[in-house]
Amino acid sequence: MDVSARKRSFQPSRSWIVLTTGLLVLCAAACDPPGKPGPAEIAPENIVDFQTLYGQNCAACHGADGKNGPGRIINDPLYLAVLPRDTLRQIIQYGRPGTSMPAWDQREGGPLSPKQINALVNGIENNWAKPVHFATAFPSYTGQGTTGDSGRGQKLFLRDCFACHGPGARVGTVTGADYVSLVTDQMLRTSIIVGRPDLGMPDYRFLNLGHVLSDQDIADLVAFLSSKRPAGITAMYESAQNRINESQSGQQGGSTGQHVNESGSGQGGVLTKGNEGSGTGPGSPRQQKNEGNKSTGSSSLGGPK
Amino acid sequence: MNTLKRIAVWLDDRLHLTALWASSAGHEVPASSGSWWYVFGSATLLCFVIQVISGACLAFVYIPSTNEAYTSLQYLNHVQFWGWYLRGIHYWGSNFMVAFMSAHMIQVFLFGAYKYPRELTWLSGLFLLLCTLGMAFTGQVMRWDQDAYWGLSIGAAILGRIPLIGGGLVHLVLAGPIIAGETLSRFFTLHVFIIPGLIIAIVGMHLRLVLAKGINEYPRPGHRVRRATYDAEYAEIIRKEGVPFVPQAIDKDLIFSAVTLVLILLFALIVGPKGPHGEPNPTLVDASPRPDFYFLSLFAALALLPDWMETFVMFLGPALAILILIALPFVANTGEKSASRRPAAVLWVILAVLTIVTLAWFGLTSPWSPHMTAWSGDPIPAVYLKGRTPLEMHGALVFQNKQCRNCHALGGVGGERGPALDAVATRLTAPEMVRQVIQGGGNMPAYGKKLTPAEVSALVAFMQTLRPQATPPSQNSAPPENKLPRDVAQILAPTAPSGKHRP
Repeated sequence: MDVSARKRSFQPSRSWIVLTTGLLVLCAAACDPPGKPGPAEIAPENIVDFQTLYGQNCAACHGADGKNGPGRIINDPLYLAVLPRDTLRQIIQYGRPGTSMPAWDQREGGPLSPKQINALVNGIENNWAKPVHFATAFPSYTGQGTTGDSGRGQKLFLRDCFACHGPGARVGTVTGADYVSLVTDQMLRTSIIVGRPDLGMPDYRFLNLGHVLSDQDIADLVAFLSSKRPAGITAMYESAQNRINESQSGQQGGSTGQHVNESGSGQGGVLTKGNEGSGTGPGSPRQQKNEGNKSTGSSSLGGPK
Repeated sequence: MNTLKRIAVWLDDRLHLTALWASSAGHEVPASSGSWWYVFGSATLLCFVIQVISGACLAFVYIPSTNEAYTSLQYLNHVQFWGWYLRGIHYWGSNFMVAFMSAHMIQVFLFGAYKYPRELTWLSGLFLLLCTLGMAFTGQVMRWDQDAYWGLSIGAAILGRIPLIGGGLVHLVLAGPIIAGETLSRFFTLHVFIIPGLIIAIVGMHLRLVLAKGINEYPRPGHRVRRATYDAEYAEIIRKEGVPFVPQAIDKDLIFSAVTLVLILLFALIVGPKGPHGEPNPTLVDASPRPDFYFLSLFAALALLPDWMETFVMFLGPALAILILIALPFVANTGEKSASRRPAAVLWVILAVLTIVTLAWFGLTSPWSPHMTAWSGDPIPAVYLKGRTPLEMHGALVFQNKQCRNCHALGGVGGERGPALDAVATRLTAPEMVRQVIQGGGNMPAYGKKLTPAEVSALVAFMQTLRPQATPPSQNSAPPENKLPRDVAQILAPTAPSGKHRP
């Protein structure tokens, strides 16, 4: 009885067939079946999407979103304000020899083309640089022209850093020979200036309880830490940097200069240490640089044509 | 009407169609063979027909040249109206063909159908299997992407190991010393003309033998095959319970074939075609080629073999397997057919299937293969960096920069070649870590020359933090005076390393 009743309830099958067929036809016409291949795979050397490039090449050390990684925080307006754009490009291209930052330029044995490095530089600046308003001027990135006094640096260290970086303190020491052998003076300087906002280390404005560290203070601190480094290693870092500077000046008229013009940071194509320092020297306001970025932001986002 | 009938009669008179029908479709089979177990052969044949039709359609567009093969597949995938679906059908048709052919072979083996008098049916089926695998391999080459290129390279490298004639064979297969345009032409010819032609010929023979020697009756436990009496017994079975193949015994074949057809069409629609994955450019180092699923087990076996038995197993293995399968119907020519009386046969099937499936799973996951992009693309879990000292943080940098991550996973992400290091500090003390990093061992290369003392210290300091919060770190069980060998203590001590350690 039940079975026959159910059979009978299926009797108006013609409308069912029409409905089902109609739905199937509609579906086939309207939506893409899941098996349809997506866009063709992009060859690795042609990827210029910032998120993809960053995720594949940088995220492992610098963190998934430019922070919370073991390497330098990049997603930090202060760092990007202090760091000249050309230096950012130079670091990506040539790496930091002797440290854990490798060279990424194909000409240096890395995997990335100039176009891709350009996309990374633009992506970092456009996504993570924000106008920062400061009461005072920035310290310069390289501190060129300031000579540090190690003795004064030691006093400053005891005053400003010891609470966290003294022996047995919460964060851990930075004066051990192993640690200072692994970091260059520039890395120490940058760490003092920008801190680690993602991990709780304050930047240069707050290390001395409300008193901003001066350019000289920072140089002294670096000199103190640098004095803890075993002999020979500092010379190694310097010779490696000199090699970069030489190969930089060799390519100066080439593509590097061109990218600088594309990015429109207006700092010229000269990337040597001295010029970086003068480019964003003490007192050069961040707002200016950011306006420069904004005006070219849309064109740099799309990458090179 | 009358004219039509007269034409039909004339045609039948000239072509003997009725006789052909009666002797083929209408031939009598044991009623017991109209079983769901007997459907895999016809399903395989259906797959082959689908492959021929879809393959012919693909050949209208496909260009067998190294310059254009990849592009023409992209054209099929993205431009040609439903071209991707055609590729999907061809791909899934091949998958189902290999799967059903294997099922058919297992069924024939378990039902003792290879025994007297059907030895040649088994042998022709075996050659069909080899031809189908040949189609699968040459078909993979047609895709002309990274999988194709490296699959071909591995195939050629295997051939090259054959003593004396290896080099000549490679030259013959690749149409030259390297993979080039002529290689593709050669494999196109094999895939489109020679092997399909062979398959059609052998299928003809296979079916002819099924008709001539009759389909195997459903085995009954206790009924032993004897050469002297079997033919008469079979004739008796046909006389007593014989039914014409069409229409009595074909119904289940038709239903299963219809299901197969729907499955192939659905899989092509839902999963779609495979690849092409990346251009076949040998200079792209981040290629991660994998063969199609039918060769995954072979891929895994070759990858997992110890070096010293590679050549041995590569040639003796397949040769032995084929020889055993050829000898099978002659060695086990008579006796029990029913699987319930042949426990060894059942065990062999279980062993073979388990081996192949397990190896294929390993081939799919390939845990022996380092993840070459892990060091730059897989972030260290933030929880492993919280509250770490600057030196430990720097150790994490060294860990990534020296590509430890490519073989050692953290937080479940990274290579699986070496052990995951999430809790390494509970297994190794700091000196043990230093020794392992510097000297390597247990399948790990020595990194002593690639790391400065400071980098080793930082790395070990970081790894010493890798343990669950409540678990104490590993401790040296040796007496205290032996705790640090002098040279290790020297390495660990923060003394001034000389500049020569640096590049």
